Amino acid sequence: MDNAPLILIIEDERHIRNFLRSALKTQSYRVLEAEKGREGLSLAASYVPDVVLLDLGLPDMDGIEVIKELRVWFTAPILILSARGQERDKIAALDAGADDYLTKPFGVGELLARIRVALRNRARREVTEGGGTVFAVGGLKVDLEARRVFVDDEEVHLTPIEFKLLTVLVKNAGKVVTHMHLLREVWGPASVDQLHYVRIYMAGLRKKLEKDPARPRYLLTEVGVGYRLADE
Amino acid sequence: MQHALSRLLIPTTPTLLSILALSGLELILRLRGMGYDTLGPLLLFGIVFSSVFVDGIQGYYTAFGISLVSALLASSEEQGAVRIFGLTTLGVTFCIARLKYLRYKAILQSERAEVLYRLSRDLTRRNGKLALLYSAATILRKEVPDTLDFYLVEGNQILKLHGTELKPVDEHLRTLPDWVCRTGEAAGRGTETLSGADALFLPLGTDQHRFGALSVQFRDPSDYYDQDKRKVYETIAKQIGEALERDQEAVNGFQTNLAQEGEKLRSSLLRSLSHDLRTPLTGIQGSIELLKMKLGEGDTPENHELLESVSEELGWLLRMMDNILSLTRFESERVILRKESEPVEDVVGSAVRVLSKRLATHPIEIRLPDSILMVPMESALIEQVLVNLLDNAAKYSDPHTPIEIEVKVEGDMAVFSVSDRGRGIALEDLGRVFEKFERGKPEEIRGIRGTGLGLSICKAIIEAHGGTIQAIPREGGGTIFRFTLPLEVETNG
Repeated sequence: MDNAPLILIIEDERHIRNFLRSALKTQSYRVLEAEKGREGLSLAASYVPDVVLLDLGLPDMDGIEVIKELRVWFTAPILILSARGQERDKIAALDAGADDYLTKPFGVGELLARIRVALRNRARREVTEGGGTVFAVGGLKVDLEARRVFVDDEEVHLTPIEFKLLTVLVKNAGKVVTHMHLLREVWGPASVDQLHYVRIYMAGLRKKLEKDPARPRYLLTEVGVGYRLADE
Repeated sequence: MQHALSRLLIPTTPTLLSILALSGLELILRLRGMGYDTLGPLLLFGIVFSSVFVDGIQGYYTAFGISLVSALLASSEEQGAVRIFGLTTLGVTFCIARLKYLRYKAILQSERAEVLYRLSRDLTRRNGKLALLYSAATILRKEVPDTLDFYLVEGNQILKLHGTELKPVDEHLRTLPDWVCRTGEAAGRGTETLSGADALFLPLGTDQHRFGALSVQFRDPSDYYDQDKRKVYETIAKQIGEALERDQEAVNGFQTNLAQEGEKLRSSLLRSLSHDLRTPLTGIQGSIELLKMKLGEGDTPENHELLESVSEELGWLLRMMDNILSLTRFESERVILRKESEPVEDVVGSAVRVLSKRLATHPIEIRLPDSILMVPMESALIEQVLVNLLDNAAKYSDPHTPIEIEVKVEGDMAVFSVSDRGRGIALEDLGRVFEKFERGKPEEIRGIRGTGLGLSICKAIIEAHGGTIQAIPREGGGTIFRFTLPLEVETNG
């Protein structure tokens, strides 16, 4: 029980906290709660949680500030809770060091899936730092070392850029990756005004990997923010 | 202290009256027994009369006086019983008198309050014009011996200042103020125009704006022909006019300001409202899900159904909120779209995913161009259009009928269409479906919930993108919603 992951909720709405706590308890996670940003920061410093769930609209300080202050020393995943229509806030939060977000309203399933991803990424990051991996989800198999990709056991040939894109997504599997992040990783920091590259190459990648590109199974679009590689 | 005492001293009126009647009767009988046959009824009459019929503070004094006399008379007889009754009567009368006095004071106060209230109400209603005229009138009437009257012309109405109020003037008294205000020239007694009138009328206003008229009845009739005296009043009228003009400008500025502020407030209010609503709804939705998980398979189907309908309603609420939010954005600002080139499959796929639960009972057919089609758009908004159209299609067509989404290129436009096999839209309604709060005929929409906002928002979004949207009846039944988006970004920005 004591080894169960510790999750810190920083959210000012009592009812949301209640719901989050009940949902997290179903998975036997340990839960810490803070109503305010300051309180959250000091709880994080004393308990070092495995995941932080952070509401962007806190009464005492800006959520982005909380992320920045946490990221000075804190390496575990931070998940943002935010509303639809706040795509810019989400991007800003992700740029500031958040790992992913949940758009209100979200369901229990979605919440737990994101937490699982966050915990898994953490484990993966620790165990396989620099090591080779084969990533597999559904019929998609990506061998990063051998640079080979299979869909339903059939090999798919990708261009170098497509493969690089897929690699970034695989490394962040289950997490949202912003357009800007992909652009920087794949094309380098000099090409920041070429955002449409990302979309065009993603569309190409999708055509090769998805049976029905309009209803993707693996490469999911987060409208206005970026892409997410499904990992469940 | 005094207040508390007076409260103690005032029992309710019926009690008072019965005490009064009893003690009066007793007094009469006693006095009769002692030979004072007429004094008793007289006293009683005096007390009742003074306390009931004499109004105000005078009643207090009269009743008090009469009862004092009766008490003194009684005491001079040295009859214990009579003295007691006399004193009782004195007390009762005192109470009644006090009651009357308090009521009188209350009436006075409420009248004063009424006047104040009327004044402030009129002041706000008349945008301060009344206040200006009233204070001008009060000051002037104190200072000058002549009789002054003030008229305001508002549209067709001619209003005259009576005390603290503006009242419309009678038909036959309209001519002079009206003429003076329209022409800007003096009229009435002492002038060439309508000299038979009983007063001199001067325009109230500046050279640019005239607001009404000032009438002067000189105490000394020879003053009507004294140009210096008239000049004084002309200056006064002009000064009041300037004040009225400043007030008008302030009001106009204030109203423009108010409209702008109101607009700002409205949109920020709606925005924060939608945020504040979304947060509890998230809590509700999550709790329902948890409940569902806890209920498990073992529970009655009714309970599952109940929870299911709660979450469906929630979904509806949330979609409506998105629509209201977009509508305020489109109505309150000059919308600046954050357009980016997006592959159409991204938005189509995302919209279908958002609505996957709602569309579960309909087969969805998606047809996209073979090559990747990039269209400049603000993707979240176009996604919303598609969500609204798909939601509509699902709402107005039977389960298991297909819903088709197609995107193709026609000239320099991308053409999107969402088609259903629903009940269709009557020809005469096709043009109106995009109007705000338009929702088909009542018999067609029974049991289907909508805000009538969805399609009007679609139209606003598409038009902001430089495209068009229309509803087309479909061959073989159903409706096609078709919208276009330009493929090229306009270079003029």
